[in-house]
Amino acid sequence: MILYLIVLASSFIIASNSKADSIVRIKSFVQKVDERTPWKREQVRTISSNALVIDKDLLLVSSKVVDQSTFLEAYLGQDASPRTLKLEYLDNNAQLAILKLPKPSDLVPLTFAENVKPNQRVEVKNLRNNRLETLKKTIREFRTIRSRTSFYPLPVMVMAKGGRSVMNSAPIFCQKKVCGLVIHQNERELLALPSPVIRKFLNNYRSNIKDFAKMGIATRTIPDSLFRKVKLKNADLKGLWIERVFRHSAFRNTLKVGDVVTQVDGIPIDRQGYLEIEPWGKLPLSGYTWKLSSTKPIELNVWRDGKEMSIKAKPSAFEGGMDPIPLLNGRKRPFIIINGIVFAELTRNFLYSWGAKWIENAPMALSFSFLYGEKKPAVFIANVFPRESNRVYRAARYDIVKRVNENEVGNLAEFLNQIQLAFDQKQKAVIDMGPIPLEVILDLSTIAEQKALVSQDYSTNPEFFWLPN
Amino acid sequence: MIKFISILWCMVFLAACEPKKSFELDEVRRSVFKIYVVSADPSYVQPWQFDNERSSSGSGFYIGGNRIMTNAHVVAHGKVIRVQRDGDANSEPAKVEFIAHDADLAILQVEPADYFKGSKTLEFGDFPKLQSKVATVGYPTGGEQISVTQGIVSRIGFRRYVHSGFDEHLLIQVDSAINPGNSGGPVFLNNRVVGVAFQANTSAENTGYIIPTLVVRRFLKDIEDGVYDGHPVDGIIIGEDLLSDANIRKHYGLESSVGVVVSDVTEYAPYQGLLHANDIITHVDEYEIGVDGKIDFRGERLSFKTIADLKLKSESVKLTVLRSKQSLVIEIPLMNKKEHYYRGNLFHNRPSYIVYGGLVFSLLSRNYLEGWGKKWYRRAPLHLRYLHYYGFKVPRFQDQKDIVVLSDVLVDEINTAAQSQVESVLDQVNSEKITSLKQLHNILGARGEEQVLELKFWRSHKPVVMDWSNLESADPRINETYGVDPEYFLNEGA
Repeated sequence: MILYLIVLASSFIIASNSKADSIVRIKSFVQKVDERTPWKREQVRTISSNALVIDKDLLLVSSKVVDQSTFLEAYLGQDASPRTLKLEYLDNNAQLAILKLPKPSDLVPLTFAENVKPNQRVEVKNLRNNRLETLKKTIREFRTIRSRTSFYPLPVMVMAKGGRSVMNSAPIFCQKKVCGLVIHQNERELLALPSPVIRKFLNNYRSNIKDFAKMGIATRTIPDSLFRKVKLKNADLKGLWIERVFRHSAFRNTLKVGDVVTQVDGIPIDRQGYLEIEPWGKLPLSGYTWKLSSTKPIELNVWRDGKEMSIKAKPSAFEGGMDPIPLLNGRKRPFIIINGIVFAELTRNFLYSWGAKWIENAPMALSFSFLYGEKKPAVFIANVFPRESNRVYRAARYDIVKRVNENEVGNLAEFLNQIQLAFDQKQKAVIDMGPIPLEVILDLSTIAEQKALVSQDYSTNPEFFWLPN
Repeated sequence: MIKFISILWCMVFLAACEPKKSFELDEVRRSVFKIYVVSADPSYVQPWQFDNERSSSGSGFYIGGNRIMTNAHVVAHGKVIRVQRDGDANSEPAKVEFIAHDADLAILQVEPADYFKGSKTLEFGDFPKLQSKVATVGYPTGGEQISVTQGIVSRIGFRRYVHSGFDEHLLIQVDSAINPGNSGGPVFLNNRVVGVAFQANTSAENTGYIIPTLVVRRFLKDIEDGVYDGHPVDGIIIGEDLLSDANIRKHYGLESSVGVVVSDVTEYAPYQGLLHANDIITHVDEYEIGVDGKIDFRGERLSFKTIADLKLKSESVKLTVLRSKQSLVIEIPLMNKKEHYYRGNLFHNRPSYIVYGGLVFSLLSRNYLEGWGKKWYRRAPLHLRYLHYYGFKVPRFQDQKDIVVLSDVLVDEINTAAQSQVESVLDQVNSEKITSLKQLHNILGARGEEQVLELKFWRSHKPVVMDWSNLESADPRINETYGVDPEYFLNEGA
């Protein structure tokens, strides 16, 4: 019996060195921003990952491995010491990054398969403890997922995990070519980006552009026939109902709430809101979005007021950092300290820092602002470094700034403009907070003195403080 | 040897060994009652049903006029209430004459009138001072007999009453345990009742709370006209402790450290239109308000809100206010300006609801949110929690008492379109803004020739369109299938 198990296991884990010089192990030293106190950093932690050799000096990894990384190193073959890596290119929408070695090596670049399809037999190569193991898998299906670090849905191929974890960025091989890269795994499944997405990412890198474009719309399905008949004047209509057109969308002047998109680039949308994407099968609209490019117009067939029409636009490519409540990854968090009070712009990173159940645990007013608010930035009090001059405002932590001296402020820049204006006019800054009303009154005449005291008492970088121009 | 000496010492100096009694139990025990209750709480998940009935017990005491005083929570949703006097073999049925859920007090009546023969009317005492020795009498769990627990008044405050989960009133903390069964029992100081035992802090040892006689007397005065009107609504939002900061006092032109800043006045508050944001309240009646928002009240520092809270709604409170550096005295009648969404627990016999074509419409309430468990304040849907806490600042709902929620869909082929909107807040029906459940009931009951029912939900762009005649005709079938009876219930005012 034991012998049988050994034989069975070895049939799944086949030691192989044929790809050993094309897959390397890297270490990423990550020091994330402490989102709730963004002037601080969390403890450094180490993430190990596979990396795929794509050129003599270039490695491909999942972007989450290098997100907020402070130092990167690669372990090549039998080298005694690791080599330092540099982050060369990162596209959070693609969930991929390229790392550069200091000088070209003897590594052998991998080639990528044209495509991959459901039910295809593949091999997951997993470099663990300098030993390359091979796990044989079958592609079960394709679906789309969003990542916490990108908020951009991408198609992924799904394989059974089979009780064995694999390293981040483990490559998937279809015969001798790479046809996928593991970017996520849960208890039961391995999820990997298919090769066409990786190829697009690599082409973008070579062209030095970021071109995973977004449509900038929110849609709902229309399964209910009475709704179609009464509201859309067409009981047989199939497509996606436009619920929102975001302000950054290429369609912001052409699509309206209540329109129904029936086809995308000639591909019809079915009643469940799916498109047939060859050879992957039926996927939601987000399974097609990744193909969009800012250089090529997309054509939508739209049903409006009982008529079909065609709308074309070139969608724009931007990462979550450009959203009104942004996802900033490694970028600097927008905050400023005035009189010991930390005013920050709300980010998704802050909300996500409250854990997987952030909707339950994050401050309610802030979660609500993100999920149900007006889709605009929000400035809030992230903390108060208590001093005699501000101690009474401790209770206002996580409250949202509404107005400064009766002028509405929508983001940190506008907030600071109003503070500067108050300073120039030798006024106090009276800040209206919400949702429970409270006035925070800042005496700006002692701003420099306060900065010195708070900075010293709380060992806080003086650069984080606001000073008038 | 030491034990022997102690006993000897006690024999010689007997008086020194006996604890000093704050009251004589024999004088009052025939006026203390055990209250047996079988209750059934209404279900807020399936509002046409009641939860399984349960038995509980509490305590009460005779206040004269065939009346027993107890806590509201002892008899809330009571289907069977019986009282048993200390020393009696039998219990007698009782009925609730008045109940004040906001103050956790209730009065029971017992027939026949001669039932109380032999019971002495217990008299109320005054506000006890800190460190006073008090005795809690009642029937806590752990035995059948009457129990007396000695304690010391350790704190006097103005805090939340757990029964409503929202209202704040005066209370007294004692350092003796108040256990289940003690609720509603009298607390004595020198044979006078100085409070009614009502809640405990389970996270601390021997920390119980009693309702002081100031609150009890207010309740008795309130019901003199045969109706309980309740405590005046507060509805002023105060910037806590702001004026303890010299710069803020300077900003408001204040020279002395007195008063509190008004941050906001809710639409429904009695103060609406009379008190403004940025007013500084310096006095309430003759009491000067400190920057901590407290007044010197009977030797204790208590919230200035105590004064208005102890008044009847038919009375008024006098506020001295600094507005634009001018001092004003404003007399404020304490009647609500309008009805409003109530954030505390409701104790209607059953919740208001409508079931129509399998669509279950309920009202947002704390009770409804508690359907998400003990941690409902985190686990309930975000938009419902937000409206519960901050709805008074959301323009769409700030004038409304009712917030109508599609709480469930009793699934049937005619209502599948609405399933995706369960737990959503109803905004419009056929373009009419929904402000109450009664209004919705009227709309649903007046179909006329219309074929389509279009429901719009708050913060959702896509309406739900349903065949109205199908909903109407399927209504009896769906109700029968799911055991819905009655198909709607509207509490008064809903």
